[in-house]
Amino acid sequence: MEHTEHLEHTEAPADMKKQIWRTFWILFALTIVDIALYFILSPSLPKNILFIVLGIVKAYFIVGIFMHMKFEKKFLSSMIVLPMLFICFFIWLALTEADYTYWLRWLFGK
Amino acid sequence: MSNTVTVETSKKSLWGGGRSPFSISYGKLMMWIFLLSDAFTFSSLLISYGFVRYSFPKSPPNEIVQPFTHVEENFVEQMQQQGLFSSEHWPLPELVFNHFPFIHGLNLPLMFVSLMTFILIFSSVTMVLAVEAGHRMAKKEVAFYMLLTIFGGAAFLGCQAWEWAQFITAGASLEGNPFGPTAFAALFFIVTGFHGSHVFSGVILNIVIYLNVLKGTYDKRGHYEMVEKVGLYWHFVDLVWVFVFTFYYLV
Amino acid sequence: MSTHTKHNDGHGHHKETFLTKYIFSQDHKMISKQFLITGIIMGTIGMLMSMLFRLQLAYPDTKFPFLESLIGQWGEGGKLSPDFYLALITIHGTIMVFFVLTAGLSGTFSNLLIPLQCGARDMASPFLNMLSYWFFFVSSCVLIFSLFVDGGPASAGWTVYPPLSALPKAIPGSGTGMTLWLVSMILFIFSALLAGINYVATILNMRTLGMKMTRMPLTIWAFMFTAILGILSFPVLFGGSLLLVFDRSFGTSFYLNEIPADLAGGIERVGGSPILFQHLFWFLGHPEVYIILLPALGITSEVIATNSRKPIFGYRSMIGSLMAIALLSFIVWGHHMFVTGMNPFLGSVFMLGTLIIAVPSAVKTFNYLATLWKGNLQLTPAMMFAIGLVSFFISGGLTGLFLGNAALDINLHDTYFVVAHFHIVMGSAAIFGMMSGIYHWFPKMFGRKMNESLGQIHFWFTIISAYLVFFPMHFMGLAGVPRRYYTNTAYEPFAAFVDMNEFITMAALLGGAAQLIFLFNFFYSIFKGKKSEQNPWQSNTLEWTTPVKHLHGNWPGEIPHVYRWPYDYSKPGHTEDFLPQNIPDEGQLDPLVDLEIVPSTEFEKK
Ligand code: HEM
Ligand SMILES: [Cu+2]
Repeated sequence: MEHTEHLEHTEAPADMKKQIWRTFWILFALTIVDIALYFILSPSLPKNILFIVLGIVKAYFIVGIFMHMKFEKKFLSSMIVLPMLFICFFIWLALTEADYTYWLRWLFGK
Repeated sequence: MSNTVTVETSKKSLWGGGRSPFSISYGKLMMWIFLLSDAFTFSSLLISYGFVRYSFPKSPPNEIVQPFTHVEENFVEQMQQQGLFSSEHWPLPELVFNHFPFIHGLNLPLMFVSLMTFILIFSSVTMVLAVEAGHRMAKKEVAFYMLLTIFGGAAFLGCQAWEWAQFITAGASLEGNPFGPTAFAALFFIVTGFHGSHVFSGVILNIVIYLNVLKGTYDKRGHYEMVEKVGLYWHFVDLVWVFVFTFYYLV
Repeated sequence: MSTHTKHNDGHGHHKETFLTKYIFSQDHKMISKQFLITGIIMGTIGMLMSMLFRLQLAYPDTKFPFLESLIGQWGEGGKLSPDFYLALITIHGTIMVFFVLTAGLSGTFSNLLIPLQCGARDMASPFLNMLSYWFFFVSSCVLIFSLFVDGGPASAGWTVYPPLSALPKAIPGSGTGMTLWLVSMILFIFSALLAGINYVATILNMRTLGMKMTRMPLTIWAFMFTAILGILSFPVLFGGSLLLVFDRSFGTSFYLNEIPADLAGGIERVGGSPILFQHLFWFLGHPEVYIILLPALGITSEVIATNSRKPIFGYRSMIGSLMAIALLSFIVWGHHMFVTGMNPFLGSVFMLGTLIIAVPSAVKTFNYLATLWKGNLQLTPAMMFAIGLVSFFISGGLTGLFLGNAALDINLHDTYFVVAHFHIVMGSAAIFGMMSGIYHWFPKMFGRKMNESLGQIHFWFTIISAYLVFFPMHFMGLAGVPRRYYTNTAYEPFAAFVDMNEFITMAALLGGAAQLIFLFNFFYSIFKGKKSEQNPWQSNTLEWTTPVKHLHGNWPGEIPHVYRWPYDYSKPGHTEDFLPQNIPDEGQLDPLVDLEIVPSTEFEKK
């Protein structure tokens, strides 16, 4: 079955090609920074948080530029991004729960 | 952009029916929603990984093996004796993933996986260049960049196969592994395997689209939206890899 | 708009064979009928199963020779075997929750109503829509097939907690039956995702001109939130099931700890935690109960407004509470796990969320009551069932407050109190919503009406027997009678309840018999029912502007434009007591003009 649709593009910037390459170099650099930090800093919670923040920055560029999300309607981007809050809740919860499991095992020697 | 016109639209008319409130076709909207749900699938696997890992003690810091130094044949046994590999605690990724194809006896932590990351990022770039060319209806360019993307995907899969082979030769399997708790290897296989199967289906999709581009299907149709849709999928696969990389190799 | 007409012309040329029209149909109206009929068949199977195990609960020591001929080795000597009892309740729960009230309810009415009430020619992707039905159908077949395999079907309860589900040798039902359960569930997840993505895309992208979001019927709002819940929660069950498959078949131990090798296929299992599975399961599981309930609530809003001949009370607060329920349902799942060894601190987090859900639920209830208040009530069977839903929603919701309280739940967990609670608020309420929808939209689906008097009889017998069955269970639960037990007479304190069990079983048999009336009425009316006029309930929504005889593409000409919200009943100053959405007020501008839409270049997409 065919459909009739109004198709308009949310306009991409004219210098799209430039933006793409810029994004590539940013992602490239961020990955290098990742590896460098891995060896410079010793394992700790702040270090892990730093990695996660860097991961989210990379995700921002991939989703925003490569997937064109930055140029879409605001509502669409919030519709796709906000549900991730549930995942954040789930992550917090799973780690709290895992910590509890750890202490239970320690307590009962298992 | 022969077939697209930007219209002046008031907010009122956006949601007033008769059009897409996001100015995107239903196909792209469905792809976005699918990717959202797929993100939840990957999240559930990564959350399980976090749960299992967090319920184990932390790994002791590595003060013995420096990067770019020589490693013995029996590296794994050494580490086991040193207590750095033990089923009691999670292993340090730098000690597990320290091989590089064709280079033996050298400790090259995380180098190979960085290479894989670059390959995937690069294939994402070629993909988005294909999309951009599609907007200009430049058939030849689309085909060229699609081909590069396919090569990138294939290269990534090849690297992953090597990484798996390396891991399996070292004695890791779903049922046990010499580096640490069983779940470490099992989750590695499942998460990267699930990601790899996404890459694989992405490559297949890309090939199909590539052939269609060559046949001129989208030229006739008047737009290259199909390229955009697989493009979204392909970038998503890249996006997932960013997090697999972060949680598996770095954290 | 010229393309719309052009588009419609294109359809005359399709040649339809029996196969493309009835079996592999891509028409949303036909797919909705397929969902409904498959759902009804599965529902009948699930109901018959409940009759079998109710017999066991009421007469634990009596022999029923017919059982042996009915279920063979599982009923040896006329007694239901304990293993098969567990299998029956598991499959009963699975069928009812997923196959009847998820696919059968939301699948049927979302498919029927989303394009019709939004004013679209079909779903966004008719092909994926068809695929969704076929995934569902195959998944049902796999589940039914699992009844006949060696060892019997899955028996770990519909929640399939490990280790019973993770160790193939744990109980007879943990073997092939459990594997097939997982296969069936994974197919079901595909079906639910395909369907949900389609529903959301259609609602957002394909409304007709003038159909603003705030002019959508509450049914559509409910279906949209249902679809969103499914899209976000089913993937997590998929992840959980995937890991379970690996635990079962490939020697991993994500959900297993301290299991010696000889019990677990020769590999010692350490390091996992069954709690992880429970979190993954209930991340789906709780939204799932709203996936079941929200469509029923949406249908009820529509039916109650139409049959009270009054605007729905608090339209925007209805939408708001649907949204609040949908949001909250993602952060309360742990109330199913208060006593399973979860971190008690998280217990209090989940308790807070759970108790907050009472607020939007109460908003909905009061809005229903306020709509009914002083209405010009048309007590059609659909209306009766809708009012029945409100009744169940209240009485079942109240017990939810007890169960949501972490301290009280220590006593109530896994007792018949829980069985009573969820059968009333989720089972009966959603079934009543579904019935209401069937009676209401039967004329739209089949062009005929169902028999009114039979409908009324069906309603009264069903509501009375449902209360007789499930209400007494509260008292058993408060006294501590555990759920999922084969026989209660084996325990001194519970043996006293055998009389009550007998009474409940009688009532259940009565309720089952009442459904025969429905089945007869339904299938008879498809072929022989009274022919329906175009708008039998004098309703405002767009689906009643389509001709009685189904067309591919729904409207013969242009799709009507929409000028008003769907609840203009008994509007002062008008002779008729209803004003369909496609009728303009005097002097009202066409949406095309009013919304300042500049037509953009349109093109046909294949
Ligand atoms: C035909 C009327 C019904 C009767 C007589 C009935 C009766 C029962 C009984 C006696 C149990 C087992 C309790 C136990 O031993 O633990 C049960 C379990 C269950 N029922 Fe029903 N039921 C009916 C309809 C429904 C409906 C409409 C639903 C839909 C939500 C439903 C969902 C369930 C679930 C989820 C379970 C739990 C299965 C498990 O423990 O894993 N039932 N039912
Ligand atoms: Cu719940």
